[in-house]
Amino acid sequence: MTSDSRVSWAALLLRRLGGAAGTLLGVTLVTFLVVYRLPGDPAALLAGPRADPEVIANIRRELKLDQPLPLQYADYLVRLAHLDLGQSYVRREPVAEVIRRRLPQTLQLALAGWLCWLLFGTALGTWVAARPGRWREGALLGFSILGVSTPTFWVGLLLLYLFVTRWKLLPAGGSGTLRHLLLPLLALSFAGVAYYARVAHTTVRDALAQDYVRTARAKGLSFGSVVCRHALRNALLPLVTLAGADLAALLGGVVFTESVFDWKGMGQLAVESVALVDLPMILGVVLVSAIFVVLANLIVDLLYPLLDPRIR
Amino acid sequence: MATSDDLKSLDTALAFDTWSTAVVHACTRRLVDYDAAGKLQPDLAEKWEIQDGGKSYCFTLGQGIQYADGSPIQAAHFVAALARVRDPKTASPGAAFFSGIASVDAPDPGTLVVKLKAPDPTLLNLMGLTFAAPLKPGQDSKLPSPSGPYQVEEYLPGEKVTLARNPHSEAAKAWVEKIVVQLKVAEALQMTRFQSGEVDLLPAVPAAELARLAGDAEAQKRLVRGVVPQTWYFGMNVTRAPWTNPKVRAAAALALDRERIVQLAGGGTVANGILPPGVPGYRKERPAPARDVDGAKKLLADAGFPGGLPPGKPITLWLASNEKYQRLAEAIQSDLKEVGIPVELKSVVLSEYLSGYRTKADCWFGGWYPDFPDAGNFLEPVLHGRSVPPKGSNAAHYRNTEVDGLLDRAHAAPLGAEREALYGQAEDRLLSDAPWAPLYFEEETRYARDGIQGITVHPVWRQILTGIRKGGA
Repeated sequence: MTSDSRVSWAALLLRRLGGAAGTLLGVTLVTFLVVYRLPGDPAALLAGPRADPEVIANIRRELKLDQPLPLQYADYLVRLAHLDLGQSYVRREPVAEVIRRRLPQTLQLALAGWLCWLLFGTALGTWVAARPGRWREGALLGFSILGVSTPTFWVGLLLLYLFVTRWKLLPAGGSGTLRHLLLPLLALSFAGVAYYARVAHTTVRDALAQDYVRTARAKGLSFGSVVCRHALRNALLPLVTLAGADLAALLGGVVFTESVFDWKGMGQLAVESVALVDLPMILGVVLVSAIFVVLANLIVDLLYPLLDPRIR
Repeated sequence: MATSDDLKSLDTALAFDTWSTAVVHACTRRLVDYDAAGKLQPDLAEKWEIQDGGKSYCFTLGQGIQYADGSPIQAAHFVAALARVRDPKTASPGAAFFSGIASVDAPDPGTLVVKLKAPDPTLLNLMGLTFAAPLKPGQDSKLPSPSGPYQVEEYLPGEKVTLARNPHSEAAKAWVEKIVVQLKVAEALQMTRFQSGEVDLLPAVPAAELARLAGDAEAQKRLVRGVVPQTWYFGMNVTRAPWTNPKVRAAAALALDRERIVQLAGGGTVANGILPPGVPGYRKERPAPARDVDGAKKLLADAGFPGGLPPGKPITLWLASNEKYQRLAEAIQSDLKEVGIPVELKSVVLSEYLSGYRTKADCWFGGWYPDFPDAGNFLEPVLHGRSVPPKGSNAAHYRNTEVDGLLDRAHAAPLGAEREALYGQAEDRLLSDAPWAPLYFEEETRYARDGIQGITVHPVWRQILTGIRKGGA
């Protein structure tokens, strides 16, 4: 990389970082507006079905829900500037604390799942593209259709039945150890690997039909080297875009997989907070997920010029 | 054990939902507690005297009572606990219970004097609530001061709570070493965990599993069932058409097929009144109402609607969104339609339901239970004229001076037959006026591994952890 290209890369980084900050601020505002318009009164829920309206009013005051919306938002931003995500209404503990406990679980499952998708999916797709044949391509197509169209929770229940109820090999959900990770990872990977294999297969197959591949072959390069160094590298671009967006989505929590396997991650937390109208918690979860989306996009954006020198 | 519920708080002043209360109950003792039959018995208080015409209670604490660390439990700790609950800053859901208290004093470490603004024989019940557990000085209020058989060893909100035996509590050897309550476990996973041996007890058997266990004689032996003091009912706002007409309300009450509703609920007993079993004044001998479609149609005709209500502004029935409630509300809807009362269902999330059903619903499907076994505690918040919203939870907006008078007289009457008779009269009047059509009394189920003993459905606490024993102990 020349010094010139290094400068433009740094400029790109700065520009993207600025945009990211603006995006996050926008996310807080929109979430705030949406969340505060949710039907239902968190105070009524906290007070329970038997509470008198007087008690509910007390709680509303205590949670500062009786203040005007702009004031509440300003208050939220000031606290956010001090890296304070506020207190959960329901759990009455700092939102940051709950997220700190849940995030590692989600990171573990999401990253493991993502790597499986990317590695196994790409490998499988590339292999079939490099060694085409009716049987192999048909099998890949079948697997892709099955994988993409089977609901994750159903795969999850099937795995639970087989590995836990039937063979008693693995724990029945929960999180913590590698043994706990296996089933959710399998369930999560099924659809992802199928999809990535399909995409990789198409892009690598198309790349292999290009002129430069014929040229590379003509130069006398081995077939393996052509597939890996030429075809796959060109096919990577769409895969990286896809993987970036998917990683962001995964890090926001995998709701179905988490709930089937009682995996205590961000997805469950998000669903639960919405159901309980736990406003600070919803804001916290959305903000953290948004940070991941922004980060993942940033990384993809910065990777492009490295993968494809034409993009600057 | 594994439950799909969460607990909201283990702060003694805030714990109010089933599991928060069950954990605080297991970790604390109070002046009095309920025995297995739901009768009040002395606990930390050895005895008490009622003076000043029922306005002053003087409790004498037992000897040698102590917390899990061995420090003594003193009368001043009760004063501190009650002051904290009553402080508006605490925003305790229990504050209102103690609003009738004029003063709480500890003249010496072994004596507690509670003075009331007016005589109230239910003060003893109030002292049995978990809110009234002693608060150890310097104790972090996030967890209960450990005066009971167990103490909280670890609490991970939304995940699990682990209770360990309190070595200093009397008869501690009788309890199990540790109780782990797994929280927020999906219903589908609970039985899987039971079968894989990960949990020994399901404190609430999911409806789908109950249906599956129905034909299994072995499993039925492990199943514990019990009716709890909770009444599910169809409520009508008497200030909104068509429920302003008592005959239409009575017709609705006659139209409902309660047997079928119990079936759809997956358990329970057809309600033969408003007051549920376990509440003093509950009348076992009163016959359960039978469905009478012709009678209901006749009442509607008498009300001026032969052939059913005319089409017009739709009548909305509110319910909290939940698969079971939806099923039951649909049954109510079809029963009412058959006699000529068309209603539309409005299913809303629980938080919206709780903040809206009191003022926005024409009618609703709801459940109600007392905080302690007393008919006044059950009826006053929901059917007394002074509880009409916005101040209270009388969502029927029902005002009847005769009923109010009976409830007030009963409230001041000493515990016993006279008090129960007055509540009985009020209940009879309410049933004939029908602001509510009671449907069924709630039933709870537990499912335990062989060798786990002391599993009960407690008539007051419902979920109770203190009685659990393991194999022969």
